[in-house]
Amino acid sequence: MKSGAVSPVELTRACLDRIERVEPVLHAFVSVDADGALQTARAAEREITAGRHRGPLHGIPIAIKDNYDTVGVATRNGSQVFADRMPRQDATTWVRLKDAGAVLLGKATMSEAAWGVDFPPVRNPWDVRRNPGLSSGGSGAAVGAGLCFMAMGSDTGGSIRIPAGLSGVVGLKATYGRVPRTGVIPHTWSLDHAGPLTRRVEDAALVLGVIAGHDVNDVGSAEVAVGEYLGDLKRGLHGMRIGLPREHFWDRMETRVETVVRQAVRDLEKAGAQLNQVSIPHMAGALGAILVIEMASVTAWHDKYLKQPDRRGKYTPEVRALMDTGKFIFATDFLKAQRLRRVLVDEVRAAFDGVDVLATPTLPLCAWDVIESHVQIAGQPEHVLHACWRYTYPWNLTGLPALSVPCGFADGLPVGLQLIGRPFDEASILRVGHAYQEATHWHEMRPPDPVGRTV
Amino acid sequence: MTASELAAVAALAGYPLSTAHLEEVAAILAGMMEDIQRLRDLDLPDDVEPIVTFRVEPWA
Repeated sequence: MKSGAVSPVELTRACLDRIERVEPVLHAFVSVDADGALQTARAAEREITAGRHRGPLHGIPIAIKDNYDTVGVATRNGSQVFADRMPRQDATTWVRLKDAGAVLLGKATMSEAAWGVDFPPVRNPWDVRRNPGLSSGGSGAAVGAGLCFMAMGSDTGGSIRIPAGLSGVVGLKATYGRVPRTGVIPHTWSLDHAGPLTRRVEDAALVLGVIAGHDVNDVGSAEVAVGEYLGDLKRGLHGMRIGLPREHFWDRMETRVETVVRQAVRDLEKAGAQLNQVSIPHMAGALGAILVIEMASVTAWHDKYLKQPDRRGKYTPEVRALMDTGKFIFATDFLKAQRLRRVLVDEVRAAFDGVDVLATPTLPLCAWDVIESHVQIAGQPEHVLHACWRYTYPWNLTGLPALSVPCGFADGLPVGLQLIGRPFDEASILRVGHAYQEATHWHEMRPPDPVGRTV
Repeated sequence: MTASELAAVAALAGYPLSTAHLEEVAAILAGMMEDIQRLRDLDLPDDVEPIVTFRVEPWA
């Protein structure tokens, strides 16, 4: 871009052409603003030609999940309840991306209120009969299918990392408070994170450098200096100590997924990392904690809309029933959950004694068929929503940074490796992830053309 | 857990629901109760405080 070898306008047109071709199959976007994107791309081209290059994101086409406020473009939270919602202020992360010169192609499809299903269902670029993951499914599919170079997602229990793992792309949930939540419609205040999905770890590091940093308008925002994420990437793996949790993270998973992730862990060792077993005893019992925190919080935010008959009727029955249930969560259970969170944070801190990064599978299963609500894992039936977040939600409860990187395929479907770091040590997980990508190249594989494939 | 058992709780919460909607809630709660009970059964040390977001800043 900076040298003029690639034009922002040509790049944007190429993305828009691909979206037009592929979107009828994938449904990764709820809205595409072709005119706006080209206008921004032309402005970027003028600036770059005049020598005013803003940085690596200048002129780069991106997508943003439909729960980020974007002035001039509806932000619907994936829900008919907010069909006419036109935000008056941009989300802080979008302001920072705009200032960096990014070109917004459109808003990515998401699960209804980040909880339900998406309409129509987003399709996985690797197998269009399957789900790309949720709730940032459109973001995962858009990056996986090459419709854009980065997509912003949000993550309350895994909703960046799950679509990253299932769609074969990188997904970064930074430390809670690292990236501002301002202007992202809340799902669960103390669990929500904003972050990018990209093809390469290097791109995720680049984006983090743009979007991270304190925001006075986000009460959870941390006043911690932003790191030099790109500069730290090339330091390699040698001597890095990687912890493998004994409990919870290898329980009840598909054998084909375990085979791929165990190989990925061996590849980390071959690349110079030292592996150690660590223990987080209470993690296996933490599901009740995130359930009560999430359900009470979501209902509390949606309360005023649930009480308006015309709005209430616009929630799908499934999501409305979940939100009604949040009214039946007791304060004593909520506080018990918040006490368990503190115990978990202390246990995880102890687990990091002597290691730099933890490694786990991102998910216990591969992408499932869009019509399935239950799967069989290790001989046990399980609801897909229960299964898909088992290995990701612990890092929302504890707020630690977590990165999913593609680590191979099982029966032609992507598998993700999850790397977890100490608070505000995104640099270490990005460094390990980058070294892994340099050694393995899974991220360079492209899905088959989705056009004409049977859904 | 039945819809009629939950109706009184809904009324107390100021959130009356139809019988059909209460039945849906009952089904969801039934699916969660094992995990919630596991949380309730946990014996945590007395000195563990809940994580609640409240911070007082000095006034300028």
